[in-house]
Amino acid sequence: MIRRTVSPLLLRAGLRHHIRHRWQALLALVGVMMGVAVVIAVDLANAAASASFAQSASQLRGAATHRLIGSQGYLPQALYTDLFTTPGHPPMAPVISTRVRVEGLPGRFRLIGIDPLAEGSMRRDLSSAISGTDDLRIWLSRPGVAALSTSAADHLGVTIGDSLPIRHQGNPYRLEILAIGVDDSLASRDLLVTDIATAQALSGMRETISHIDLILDAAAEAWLAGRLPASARLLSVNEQTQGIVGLSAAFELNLTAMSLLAMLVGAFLIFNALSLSIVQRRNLLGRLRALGVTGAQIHHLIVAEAMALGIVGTLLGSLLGIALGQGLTTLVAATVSELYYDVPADALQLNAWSLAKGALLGLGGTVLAAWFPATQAARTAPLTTLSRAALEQSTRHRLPRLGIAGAVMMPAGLLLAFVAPGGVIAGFAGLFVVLLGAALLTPLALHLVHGALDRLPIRGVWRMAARDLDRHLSRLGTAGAALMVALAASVGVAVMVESMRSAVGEWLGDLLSADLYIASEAFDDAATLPQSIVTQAPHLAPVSAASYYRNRTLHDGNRRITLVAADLAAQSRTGFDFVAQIDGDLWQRFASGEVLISEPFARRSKLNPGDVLHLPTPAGDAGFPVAAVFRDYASEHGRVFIARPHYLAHWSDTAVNTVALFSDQGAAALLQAVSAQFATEDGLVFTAARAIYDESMAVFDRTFRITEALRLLSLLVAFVGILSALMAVQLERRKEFAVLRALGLTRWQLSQLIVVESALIGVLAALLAIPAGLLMAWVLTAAIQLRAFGWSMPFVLGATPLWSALALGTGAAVLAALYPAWRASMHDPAPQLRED
Amino acid sequence: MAAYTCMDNTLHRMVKPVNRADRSPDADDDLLQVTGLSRYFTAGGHRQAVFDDLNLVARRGQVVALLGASGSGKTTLLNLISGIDTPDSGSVHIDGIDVHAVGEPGRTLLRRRDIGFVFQFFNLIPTLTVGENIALPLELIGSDARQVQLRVQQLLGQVGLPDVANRFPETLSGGEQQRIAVARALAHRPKLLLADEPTGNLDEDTGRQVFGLLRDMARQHHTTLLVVTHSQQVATAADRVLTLRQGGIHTV
Repeated sequence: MIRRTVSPLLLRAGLRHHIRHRWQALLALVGVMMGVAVVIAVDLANAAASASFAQSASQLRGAATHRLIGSQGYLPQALYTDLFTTPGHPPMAPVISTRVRVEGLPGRFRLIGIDPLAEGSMRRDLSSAISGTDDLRIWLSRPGVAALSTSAADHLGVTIGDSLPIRHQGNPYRLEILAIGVDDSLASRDLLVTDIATAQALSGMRETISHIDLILDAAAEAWLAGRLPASARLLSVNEQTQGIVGLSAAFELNLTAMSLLAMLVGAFLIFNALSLSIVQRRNLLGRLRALGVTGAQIHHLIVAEAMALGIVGTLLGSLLGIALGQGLTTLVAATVSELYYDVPADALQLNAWSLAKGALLGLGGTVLAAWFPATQAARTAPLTTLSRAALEQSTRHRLPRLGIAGAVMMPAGLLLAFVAPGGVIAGFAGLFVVLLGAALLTPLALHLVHGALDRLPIRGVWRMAARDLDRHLSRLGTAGAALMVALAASVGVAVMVESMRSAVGEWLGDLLSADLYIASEAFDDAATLPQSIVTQAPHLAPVSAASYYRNRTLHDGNRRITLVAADLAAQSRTGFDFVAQIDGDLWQRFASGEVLISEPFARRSKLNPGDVLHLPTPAGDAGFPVAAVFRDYASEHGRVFIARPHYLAHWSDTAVNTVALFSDQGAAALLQAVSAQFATEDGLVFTAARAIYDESMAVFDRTFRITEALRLLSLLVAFVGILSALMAVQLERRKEFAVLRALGLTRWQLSQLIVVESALIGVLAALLAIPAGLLMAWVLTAAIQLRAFGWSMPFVLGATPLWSALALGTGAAVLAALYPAWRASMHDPAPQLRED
Repeated sequence: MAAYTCMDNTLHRMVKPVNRADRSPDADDDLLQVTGLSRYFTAGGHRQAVFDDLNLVARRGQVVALLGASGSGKTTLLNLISGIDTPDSGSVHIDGIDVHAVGEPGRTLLRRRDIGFVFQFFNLIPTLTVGENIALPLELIGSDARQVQLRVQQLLGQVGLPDVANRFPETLSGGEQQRIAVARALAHRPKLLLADEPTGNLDEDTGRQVFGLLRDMARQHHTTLLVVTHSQQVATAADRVLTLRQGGIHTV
């Protein structure tokens, strides 16, 4: 349609204009390119993390269609034996899955124990690695043998016959490498495979197994259904994978939103560049209208030019996005592994859908950004386009309407973010509407500030610069708005991160009330403390009080519930910050069997104090009244606290994961006493509260590195925009500058004029960005964090983000003005004065 | 090109000619009829008349020079005649069509089909070659590529610049650019050619040559030429000379 309604000659003229003003076009291209690159890089990284996990899980599960798991995180071995010995059973294989450390290497490795005799068709590649008769005999008869993939062997630097020292929950063990899989479909460099008996021995899972993999059809599923105890849950493998991958959904959505912000700034640059090119060509457009070109043809022409820019920018952006994606994938995989689930550190996997999304956004954003300038160009009557003064007048006439639109959009955006249904997506949509509203207000704000500056007793180039703000509103207003959007986003994200950091720091400070914590170095549910620690530690001389914690992960369908059984000393109770509770003595209620649930858990489960929470116990589901909701940033999926005696009553589990010790003599005295008492115990860590605090805040800072990187990218895109705008504006004003030089303005004064004008825009954009950014931070903190993670947090306003915005805005604008100022001052005015 | 024809047909239907029965016997020879035209501007809260109840007739193929002091409204009159601007009262008829009764799309069609422009500062499209500049009006009315090429070559020959088709306007002198502008203005064989100070940016000799070319080519195409000018030389070469003074037209 565009080809038929846009004259080829007009299109050629338009594209040549952009080639002639190649720097301006290039800067607009850079805007699209960077916006598309960031979107694609984030999408590739997000997709890679979950795809990598899913692929790894798929390789491990082989032909299995279902998995049987225990609601308590394990299954009794007897269940497998019963099922396996029942005639007509479907193909099934027991698995033990745990984590170990390899001596001398950082991080943890997955260790799975299999029964090769039961594997059959379940995992051909895995069982084929030990399929030789001799190997199988050794596998079954010699404990401690292991198989691994070629990549794992390379990573560990071992070969067949080598001995591999490992630790499980601090306990040392040695594995003998029996086989290395030449078929690398195992693919993972952090996977060790042993016989199930070896895995049971080293993990201490006597008489229990982690799960059973099965190959089921409908009939087999029915056969199985009547034979399962209440504590067992049957999941399809896809359900289970999705459930795990879904753990990081909110985190990934936040990253996506940040990348869309970069795209928004990029779209602003297109809008900016096209608006400027239309202003530059206003006489040309007037001539075309006089020659008989319709408004619709001009509209299509501008959109076609934008599409051409968009196509080139999107192509380049896609290539850059793939390059950026590799680095981002490593960062995202590391963060997801740290916070949610283990992601094998694989290379970037190119994903057509991510590329398509980036392309669609790049092209769509370009066309959308071009629509308004194109419409304005098309609607303007020929007379107006021939007159510069009329154009500025028309711009000023539009200011009240723009202001009203902006003033309406901002509260509408807030309503969308806080009130409208639609979860996180509604929150981010509202945020974007608020930002756009603020952008629409920018030109009006510049006009009003000009009015105020006009009354000040300033002289010379300062007065000229202040006056120029209003005289060139059609050009400078959009550039100012683009810079304002980027600065506001920067302020908003910085204040949000600062608020969150403050909230997490305060929460940790309250929570880590003990002087010393004793835990297993493995730090997972199965990493329990020896009974000797539990019974002896509280009786050490410096100890004045102790709290005990047992962490469990319960499985309810594909939902995971973190249960914490706690025996709390009085000092530990002060670490809870309750946001809602029912009347009465809260701790009395807790002691009588009511539970405390965290804010994210309450939000996801839609539970309030007084409601009943149903938990899967070995004896079946049991109901626990909710006594209170507490603020908790440990996990966005939430935790449930139950008094230890009531936990024991339902679960018969006396294990303890962590002991927290209090002392009037301080942490140092405690550490000395504990170290001396338990010197012979391996695999324990004794950590002072301060160390846990520091490590936790380091994890927090690492998690937000990605957000910080995206924030800086958005600022860079905005800098490109302001540079592009200033260069275009100075180009167009060559004749005006020539006249000023002829009237007696020196080169230095002309440079000053341009730099001061730009600095004024930068300062004003920053001053507007501060309230807009604070509004954005409020939405991020009070609406989006709540919707995405279920966390409420106080809004903390520090001075640093505000001063940074002012410095960044002014600095970027002044920097961007230096080259145009130098060029303008070096131009010979004579040729300009001769031109029409 | 089919789209342009389609658009052309659509716009033609919007532009209805005056009933010939309502015309005076001499009306067929009159291409341009300006009747009771008034235009006011508001400045500093005061309403000022550029012209009031102005009447003007130009016959087909006639060369009419319009003189007037700066600010007398000459360019405004041309803008009103071409439909770029709208009057406060009065009418403009071009070949029986009321310019301001057809709406903006209709006026666009009129400019595309029936009007040519020559401006003081040439106003060639800088990012199109000379040949492409001349071809543009032809492309807008839907001429096929072969016809366009032939016409461009013909016009370049007529203006004495047969070898500059692939050059860009800024590589030509002022006189050469104005010749190209004349060629462009006549490419689509318009009925009315409006020239606003066509020699104002040229030296005397060049201006004389360019105006001579403009006049001769207009006559050759049987195009009515209305030229706004300060130059007595130009006025002398016209068939009629009118003066715009004190808001009215006066014959010299």
